Amino acid sequence: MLVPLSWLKEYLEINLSPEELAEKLLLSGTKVEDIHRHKDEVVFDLEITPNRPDELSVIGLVREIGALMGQTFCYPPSLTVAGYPVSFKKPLTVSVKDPTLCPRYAIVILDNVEVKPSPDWLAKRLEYSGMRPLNNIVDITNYLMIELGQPMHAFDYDQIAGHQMIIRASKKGEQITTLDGVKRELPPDSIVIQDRERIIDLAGLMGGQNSEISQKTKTVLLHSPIYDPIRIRRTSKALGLRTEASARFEKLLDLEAFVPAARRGMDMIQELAGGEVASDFIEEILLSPQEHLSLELTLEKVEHVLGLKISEEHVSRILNSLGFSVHPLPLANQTTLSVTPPSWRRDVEIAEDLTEEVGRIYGYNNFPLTLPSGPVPTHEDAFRPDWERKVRTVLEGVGVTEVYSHTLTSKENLEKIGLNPKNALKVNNPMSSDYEFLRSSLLPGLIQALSLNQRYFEEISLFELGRVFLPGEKAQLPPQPSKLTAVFTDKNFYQVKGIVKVLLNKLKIKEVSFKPHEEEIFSPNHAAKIQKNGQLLGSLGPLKPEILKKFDLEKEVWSFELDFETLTSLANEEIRYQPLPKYPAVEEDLALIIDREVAVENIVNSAKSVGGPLIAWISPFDIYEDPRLGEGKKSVAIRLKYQSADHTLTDNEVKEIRQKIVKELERRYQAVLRS
Amino acid sequence: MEGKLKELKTKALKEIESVNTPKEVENLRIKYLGRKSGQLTLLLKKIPTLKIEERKTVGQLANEVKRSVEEALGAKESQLNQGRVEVKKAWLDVTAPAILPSVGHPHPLTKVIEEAKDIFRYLGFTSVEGPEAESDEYNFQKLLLHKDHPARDVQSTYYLSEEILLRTQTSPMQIRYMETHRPPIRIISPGRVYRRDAIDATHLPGFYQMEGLLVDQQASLSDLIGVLNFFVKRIFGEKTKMRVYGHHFPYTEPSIEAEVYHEKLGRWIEILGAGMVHPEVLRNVNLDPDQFRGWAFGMGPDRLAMIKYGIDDMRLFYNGDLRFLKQF
Repeated sequence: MLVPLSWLKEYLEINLSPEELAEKLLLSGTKVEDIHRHKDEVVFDLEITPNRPDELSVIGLVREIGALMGQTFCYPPSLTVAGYPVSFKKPLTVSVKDPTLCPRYAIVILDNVEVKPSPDWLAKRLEYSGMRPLNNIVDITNYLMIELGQPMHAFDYDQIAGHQMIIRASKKGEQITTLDGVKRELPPDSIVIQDRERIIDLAGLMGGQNSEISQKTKTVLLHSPIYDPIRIRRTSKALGLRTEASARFEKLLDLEAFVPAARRGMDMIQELAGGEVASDFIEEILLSPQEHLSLELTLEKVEHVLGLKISEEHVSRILNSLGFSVHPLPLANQTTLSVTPPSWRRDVEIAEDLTEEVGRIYGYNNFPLTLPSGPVPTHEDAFRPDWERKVRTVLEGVGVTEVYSHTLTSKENLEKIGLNPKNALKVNNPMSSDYEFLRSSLLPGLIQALSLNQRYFEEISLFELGRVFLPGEKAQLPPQPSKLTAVFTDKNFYQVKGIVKVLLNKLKIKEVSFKPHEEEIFSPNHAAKIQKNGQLLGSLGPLKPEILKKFDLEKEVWSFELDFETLTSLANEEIRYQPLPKYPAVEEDLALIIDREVAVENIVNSAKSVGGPLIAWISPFDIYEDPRLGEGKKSVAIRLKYQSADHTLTDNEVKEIRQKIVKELERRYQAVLRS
Repeated sequence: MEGKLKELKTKALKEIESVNTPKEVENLRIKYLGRKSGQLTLLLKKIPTLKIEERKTVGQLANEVKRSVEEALGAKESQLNQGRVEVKKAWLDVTAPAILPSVGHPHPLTKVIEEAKDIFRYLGFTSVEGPEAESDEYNFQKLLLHKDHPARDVQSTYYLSEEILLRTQTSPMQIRYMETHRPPIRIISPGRVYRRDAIDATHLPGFYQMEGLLVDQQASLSDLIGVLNFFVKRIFGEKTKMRVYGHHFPYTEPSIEAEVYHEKLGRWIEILGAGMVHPEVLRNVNLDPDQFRGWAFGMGPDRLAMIKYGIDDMRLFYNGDLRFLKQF
């Protein structure tokens, strides 16, 4: 909201610089976004929170500033209007079909007005307040809306057929052409005003073109209503139409300002457009007047909520300065105040609201800085290891850099890696097609990052730990598992598997197997699924060349994906110390020629099972294919470590085990021992 | 016997002198002193079979031979071990570039979030996470933002269906946690949130938020301000200035925001919103507001990182540019 400083000063002596005033306002909860300096005016640009519609007015701000400066503001005499003579009355009937639509209104008719441009001082104030001056009548309603916070509307009385004002809810399909010339189809249950024949006002948002004030207008009907805020808001949202009036009507307006506003309007019209009053001043309260609620506030409550020692006198002084009336309750066994908020503070409903008033005027920066004194919780979460941190630390240590990519992505990006957008969730109201779908995989983001970085870097290793989103049962939250996905250039299968192994080792996940695996995104015959006891942890493989091409990637890319929930469900912190061996080990290497398709893991397992407990470990270390080995053959070297916990092994013992292993490998896999 | 011993000694010492590797020394040790079949061992085993008058002199000689062989072996061994690495004499250019091991880099937002987690862990807070695709009920309604609430305007929302949305804040985690845990409660909950805003250097469709919540019977606003002040000084440095001002959130009462003074920019920068948990929110999770009080805050790790590292474009966090990421 834009407010010229001179307007505020008209009602209150402010001996502060604009910056000092802005800071005072900010610290108490009224944010000054900007201060615009014009040659003859200083304009404050304020951000008013939705609970404080009273501050969407000069008077409201003056009241607030008064409290901040320790003064209590009273309505100046110019805002209270005395009686007036009515020589003749023009006919008018007003009916409100449902009192919840319009619980309060005031109406008055002014005859023989002269519609013309507003005087300069008024036009200027409107302009500085961000409103375009039109003519004196319309400008007066806008001026008073800014000054008093009460929006009003002026109709051309002669255009109101039958001189009837019927306030009712709209029906589906009804239309109105508003002042801005736009023909609008109304949602049902909007508040409209119709005359005998047609809708003349989209109440609370914008007047109808058919009854607007024009140069020819001679008789003005001035209308000062309070509407149902929820209906105003719904219509505003449905039509995508927000006006200065609707921004006020959709909030809890002062229920007592509509009468003074209309009376001020009546005065100003007579003053600036001539004319005379031509009707009774009608003021109607259709819903029983709101009880002025009084709240009980104990001093103890203030101290507990704020954590502040403050005297009763100080609390009363602060509340009084904001227009609250305060009375001590004599019979209570602790200091208790009965507090009644002013009519313009309908946001204040409970004692905690009052503690806020006390706190913000006392000044939050004057509070003592204390730390929590209550017991420290010991819920199960306090015992859970931080696996996210562990995983990130391990990957960082082996040279993989973390990236964050957008959760929202485009249809194109999903399709590029062969994901069907039909299996991905879509937002109902995207801003752009670039951010339309929820990612169902972390890969598109990672591959895009590779593509971006390949110009500047060799050997890129990236990972992301984040959620993916999958379609689920309607009416339930969709599955949104966390995944850990990584991509690598300039690495081979063995290196990428090594990184996975290090990670699994650090998470103490043992006995994980890698099995041949086919997946849409990977080249055939090269991918592996990662399992533990039949439970799938994830997969690893080289991305298909088609995918690389679509992202303009020049190098081969290996990738792995692990399901983070599965990973953490298997992870543990168990470390068991193994006693150091007392007797020396014997190590030796065996080189075997074997069919290419025989899995190295099978060779190791067979050797282990026949080798028995004296085999400390077996590790394959040199695997290669060579035409000289024979068609479809490979060479596998395995290193064997023999060790006993209770004696030094003899040559004979070692020899015996070795022979068993060789025999078994010959029998099962037709392995040939190379000399 | 005596002759054999002397011969053996001469031979052994000569062989020991001639070898060049520790392995060879070890082999000689076995050859002469091996427990089962060492040549000297075998000779020594024969001593008890000698005549009684020979035993004494032969015994003395045998011990002397054994000691000299052992000493020679030991001396040779230490000599060989000492001489393995030669002194480097050639000039080394120490200004030549290093060969760096490959190391990864943590994401700056991870860095900031981890640091925040550490600071709050010190104060007894545990980190928990909640769903990003969230229900309207948890994201808004249970936080007193009913469907027609004007405050919904400032949190423009992506919807997946009528009732399911991408959370606009981490505050629904307050509700989820209070529904399942009795006080005392101290949690922080970092994670992604989403706003349907036009995209620019400071607005993206998704970004990070970190919620904090404390509920017990002692909670007060001055504790909240004290904790925030402690946090700000720990994360930005002890001299950092923070100030607090009034604000409005439907689910806290009183509500505040906090700013830190950015020395380089010479102005205050808003970093968080906070307040005492509204009694109605406590009632929504079946906690009696006469018995319990709480406070909560929500801060933006993106904003914290931008201030901490002097970053001016939020988009850098999300495009995976290594020229940026390698700086952390």
